Amino acid sequence: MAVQSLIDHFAPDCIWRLERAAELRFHDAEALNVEHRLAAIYLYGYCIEMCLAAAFFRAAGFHPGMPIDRDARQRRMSLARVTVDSDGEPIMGSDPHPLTGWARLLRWHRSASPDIAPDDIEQLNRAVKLSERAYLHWRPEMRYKTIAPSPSQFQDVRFAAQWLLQQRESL
Amino acid sequence: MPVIRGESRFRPITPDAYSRLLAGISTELDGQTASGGPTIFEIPLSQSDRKDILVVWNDFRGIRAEDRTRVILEAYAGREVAVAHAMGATYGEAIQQQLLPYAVRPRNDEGGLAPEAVHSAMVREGAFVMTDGRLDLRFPSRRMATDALRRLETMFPDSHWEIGETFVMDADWS
Repeated sequence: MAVQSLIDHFAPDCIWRLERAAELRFHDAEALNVEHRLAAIYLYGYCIEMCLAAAFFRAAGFHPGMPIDRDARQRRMSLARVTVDSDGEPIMGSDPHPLTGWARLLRWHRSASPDIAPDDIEQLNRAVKLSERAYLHWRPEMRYKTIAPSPSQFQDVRFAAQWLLQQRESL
Repeated sequence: MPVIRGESRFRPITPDAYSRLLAGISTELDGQTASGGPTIFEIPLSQSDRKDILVVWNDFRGIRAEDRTRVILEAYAGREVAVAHAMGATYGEAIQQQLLPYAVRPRNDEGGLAPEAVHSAMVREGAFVMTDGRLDLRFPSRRMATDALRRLETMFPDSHWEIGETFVMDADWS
C-alpha cells in the first residue's frame, strides 16, 4: 500500500489558518513549559511570528480565507528588507524568520494610514517592543540546541506570545 | 580614532529621474515596448481581483525602494488594475531576492529548434537578455511560467520546455 505523505495534505497558508496554528503552537508550548522550556520557547516564537504575519496580511487587505502563497509573501518581505523605516534601519532584516521584522512591517504599513488612532500606534509600538524582547531569546536554530533558558528569558518569550495572541485581531 | 563614514548607495530621486521612470513605465503599459525598457509583471493574487505589480528594470539602480513604488503606483493611477502591492527591482536584485524563481528553458535535447526562432520567441515572452547574449526567461509565479511554457510548446510543436525553480534553502517559514 502506498504511503500517504502528510505534507501532500498541507493546505495553503491564509490568515485564519495562521491564527489557528498560532493558537495551537501556544497550547503546545504551554504543555511543554514546565519540563521542556527550550522546546516551549521554540514554539512560542513561531506563535509570535504567525500572529504578526497574520495581522500584517489582514492590514494589507487579505481576507481571512485568501491563500497567502510563498511568492506573494516573498515579494512583501523583499520590499520590507530594502525599505528604510523612520529609524533609518530597514523595516525587516534578512533573518528567515524575522519576528521583529514582521512587527515593524505591520507598524509601518498601518502607520501609513491617516486615520490611525494614537491608541493603535501605541499598541503597535508595544508589539514591536515585545517582539524585540522575545527575539533576544529565540532563533529557529534553537531546535538544535540543549541550553537551558533562565526563568526571565522564558517569560519574555511566553509573555510576548500570549499578548500577541490576545491582541491579534486588533493589531 | 578615525571616523569612518559609510555612504548610502541610494539618493532621493530627482524630478527628472522620476519623470523619466514614470514615462518609461507608462509607455510600456500603453503597449509601446522599448528595448531596454521595464519588464512589468502583473501577478494575480489567489481568490482576489487585486494584483501585485513587479517591475524589473535596471534603470532602478540607485533609486530608493519607496521611490520605485511611488513611481509605479503613479503609472498605474487611473488604469483598470487594482494594485495590492507594487515594487521595482533591477534584474540582479530580482534574482538575489528570489522575486523571479521560475525559469523557463528548452530542454537540452532540443536539437531540432532553430536558435534564432527560439531566441525571438523567448524575447517576446519577456526574457531578459544578458550582456553576452544569453537569455533568461523568468517569472514571479509558477502559473505565469506554465502559461509561457505552454505558449512556447504550441509555437514549437516538437519541442519540450521545462520550468526550473530556484530557491535558497531556509528562505522562509515553509
